[in-house]
Amino acid sequence: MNDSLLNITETHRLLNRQLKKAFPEGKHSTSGVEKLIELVSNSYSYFDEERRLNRRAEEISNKELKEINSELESKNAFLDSFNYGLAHDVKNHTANLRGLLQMLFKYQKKGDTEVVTAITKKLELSVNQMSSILDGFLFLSAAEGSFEGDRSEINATELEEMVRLETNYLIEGRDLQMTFDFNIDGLSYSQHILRIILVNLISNSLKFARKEVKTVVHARMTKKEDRLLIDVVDNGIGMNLDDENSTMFKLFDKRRKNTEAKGFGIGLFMIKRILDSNKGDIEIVSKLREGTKVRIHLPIDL
Amino acid sequence: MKQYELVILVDDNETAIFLNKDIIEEECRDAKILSYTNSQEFIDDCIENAKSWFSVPSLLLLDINMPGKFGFDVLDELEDDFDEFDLLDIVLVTSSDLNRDIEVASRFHCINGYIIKPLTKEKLIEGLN
Repeated sequence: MNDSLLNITETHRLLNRQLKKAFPEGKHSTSGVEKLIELVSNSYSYFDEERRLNRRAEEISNKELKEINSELESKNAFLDSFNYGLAHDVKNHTANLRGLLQMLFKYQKKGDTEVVTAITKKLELSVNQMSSILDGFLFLSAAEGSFEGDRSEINATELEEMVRLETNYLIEGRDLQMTFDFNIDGLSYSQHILRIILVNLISNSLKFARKEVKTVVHARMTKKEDRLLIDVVDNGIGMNLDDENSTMFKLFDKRRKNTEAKGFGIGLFMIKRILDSNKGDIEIVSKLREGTKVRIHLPIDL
Repeated sequence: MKQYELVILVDDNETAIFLNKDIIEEECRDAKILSYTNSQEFIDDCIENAKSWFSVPSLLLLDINMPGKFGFDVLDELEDDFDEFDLLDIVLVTSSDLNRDIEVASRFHCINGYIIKPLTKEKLIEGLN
């Protein structure tokens, strides 16, 4: 058995022990937790790869050594934000799930069915959010975002339904006009990738909506010659692109100060990765307090 | 626990607000509860309503990691603006147990407590001590 396999087995064992401690009766163990273990193992294999690179570096020339060092630095920076974001998102949702369970037990005891129903809905929502976060991280940690082999004819109605379902938690109680206009008859593409792009763009439109006006989000997909165009247009808070453009695709770039339009998590970063590995492109036109237009170009045949 | 007349919840996550509100409704029965999912909106309202907010015993439950302004940014911005800010009890309610967040929090004199989510009655009482 090589080092990396040993490491993964060891990680599994340690994680399982921690999980058993956290959930002694095993009641709350779900497939989400299994995914998490898998994900953390993946993270560890990144580290293993780095270590292998390090070993090789000892044997080769200084010039190459310098190159490898800079590769390591950027990989480390990626891993730092990857791990930070994963830890934060998973912790946040786990805390919500714990809190909701405690609340559920309390109101079950009281026999308050109305509140119990409300909590159950929130639980369902939280589990969905958690699972879509884990999907995102699995996607980032596994493939580089390329989809050869994942092609099928896109069913526009089904895609729209999936996107609505996944963004539903951002909609509740909002004065909203959301329209979908998919002219993609006979398009063969990865439904998974289109879903990730649409969900993330629309989520940003909903998260950064202006409170004082009715929220308008329009999503459109069109085939133009050999390209697929995806447009998401909103009337949200907008961005000052001179300030935002260079850094907006970074992972978890939420810490910048003193601008109104901030707070992209992994969404745009994932889209960037997808575009990089599928020869795609993105155009953004945005104006503070007026809205944002995002257009994505993807070649249909690579 | 002190008899608060006003409790303000600031957290970008609706579920966290839902949970925290339930605890506060039970522990601070007579308090008026305000909630914000956008930290900038909270800052704006705070500036506008400072006089009435700070004239009664008030408690602020503040999340750290939010889009736009972080919890620490919020405190940075408000701390210098109002002398009365010291009258407000402030507890951070966060999922972060990172040392760097705890350390930053310890540098703010206005923070009374640091609670790791989920909020419970016991954690709230302990956090306020």
